[in-house]
Amino acid sequence: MRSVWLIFQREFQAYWTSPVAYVVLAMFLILSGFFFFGEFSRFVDFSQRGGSGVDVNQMLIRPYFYTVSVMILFLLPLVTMRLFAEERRQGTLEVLLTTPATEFSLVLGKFFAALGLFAVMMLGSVVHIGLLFIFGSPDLAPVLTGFLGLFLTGAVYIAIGVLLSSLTQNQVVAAAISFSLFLALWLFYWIGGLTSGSLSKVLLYTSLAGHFENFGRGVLSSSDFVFYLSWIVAGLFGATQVVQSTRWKA
Amino acid sequence: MIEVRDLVKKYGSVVAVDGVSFDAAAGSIFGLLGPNGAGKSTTIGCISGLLRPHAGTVRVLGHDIVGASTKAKKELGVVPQEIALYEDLSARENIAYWGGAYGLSGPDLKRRTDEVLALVGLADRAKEPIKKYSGGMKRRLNFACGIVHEPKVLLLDEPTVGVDPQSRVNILDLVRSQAQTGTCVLYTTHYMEEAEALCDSLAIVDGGKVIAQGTMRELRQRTEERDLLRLNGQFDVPHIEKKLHDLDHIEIIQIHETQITIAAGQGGNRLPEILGAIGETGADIRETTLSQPNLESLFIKLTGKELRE
Repeated sequence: MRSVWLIFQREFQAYWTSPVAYVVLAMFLILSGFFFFGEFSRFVDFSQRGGSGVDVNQMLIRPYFYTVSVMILFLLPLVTMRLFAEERRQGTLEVLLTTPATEFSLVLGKFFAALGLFAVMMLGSVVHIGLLFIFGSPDLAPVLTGFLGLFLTGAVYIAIGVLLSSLTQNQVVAAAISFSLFLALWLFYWIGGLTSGSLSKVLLYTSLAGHFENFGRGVLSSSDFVFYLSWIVAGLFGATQVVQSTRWKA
Repeated sequence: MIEVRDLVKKYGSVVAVDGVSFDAAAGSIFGLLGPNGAGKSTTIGCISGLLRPHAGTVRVLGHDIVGASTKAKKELGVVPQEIALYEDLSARENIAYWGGAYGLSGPDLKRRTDEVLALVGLADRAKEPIKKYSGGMKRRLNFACGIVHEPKVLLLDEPTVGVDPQSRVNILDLVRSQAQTGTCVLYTTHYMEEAEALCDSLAIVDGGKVIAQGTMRELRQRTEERDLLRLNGQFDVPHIEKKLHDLDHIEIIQIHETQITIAAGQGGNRLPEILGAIGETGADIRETTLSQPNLESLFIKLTGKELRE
């Protein structure tokens, strides 16, 4: 546990001593602010025109969460790309593997550091949604489940990103592969809708988008939790195996 | 402190380390001397727990590096051949990080960080980002990171590669000071002079195998105090072999059409006799090198090639 904390501290600090955290945060705040403003304007416009069944959760918060979940698909590869790739490039990974720290603690420390930065990003969204509570009274439950879904989606991306970063010492390659895979996991939902039979079922189940929708609607399902946790565990387990394999290949 | 027995490490079909065995004791410097690609770094990798051996055992203070890796690793300090530092951190932060990785914390970590910074002569520039450091300074910092936790066993993998002469002297002094505190030091190098100046005992490795092992004195004795004479030119091999066999106390180490290596007692005094014998064969001698008995001559005697090849 000590080494997890040590690695977490080192990685979290490294985000702030390089441009990564600032660039990612700035992009997230600008884009999420822009989309929030867009959704908000649409909602106000609809309300002022006396639209029936005006529901702030359904018309504003849920689309906003959905948009943010797509945005992080583009941004989180920038957060995870350096985690192991940079250690490999600097030659520090091999020395880390000679310390008493286990491979899993290295993976976990890096995972939590990236998750920490993602949590800071999410604070921007908390501010956006918080504004709605100041000027209105949306349902709290779908908001909380929406944030939970967003956080779990981010955790899945980060776990997979850690795995892909452990496979290369080139950050750009790590980011490109991560982005492609994240996008595929998202698009499975639409591809699954266009196909039929067991392929459709597999694609729909594997897709993150379908499971995220439940959280956005305020539905907490154990199968969704299991789905997200499975991806996280698979990503972290895979990364641990890849780092362990260094002992055979180095 | 370190017991290596029948160590084998392969990369595919290539056997990088082939049945290496040796012991290294506390308070001494044990050298692994050999040319590049001899298997020194792979051996260090197996001892440090970075690499998993295919066969054999490595015990560090009695702890098996595979079976009880955490206990064994706590006793180890590793200074790798390549500089392994975080460029975005200062010297102090780098040392503190590696100290933390070995379980140091709080006042102990601060005390040891201050001590090793002073030891490697970087105390006055401890807060600067190491991006501004010279290669020699980074080497010293690399060394500091390996000893911050006061390891009982220190593994040094060619720590002077690519450094300026002054930094090399500094690093060698640091290595000696570590051994004087009771640390068991395992030092790999392909610099024969370094091994001679530094090591109490030594294993000479080539092609993944230990080809000679012992204290410096024992190894020097193996050269039988004979000088090494190397000739370059054009030679009639069978004719020269016959001529040299007629001379007493001369051993042909290696003979080719363009190069001959001979071991001879009192080589300097016998030079006219040897050159005369070779000259009688009509040889065209273009270069002659006579060297005193040392590890280099032992290596040549054992392998028929120079250490730098």
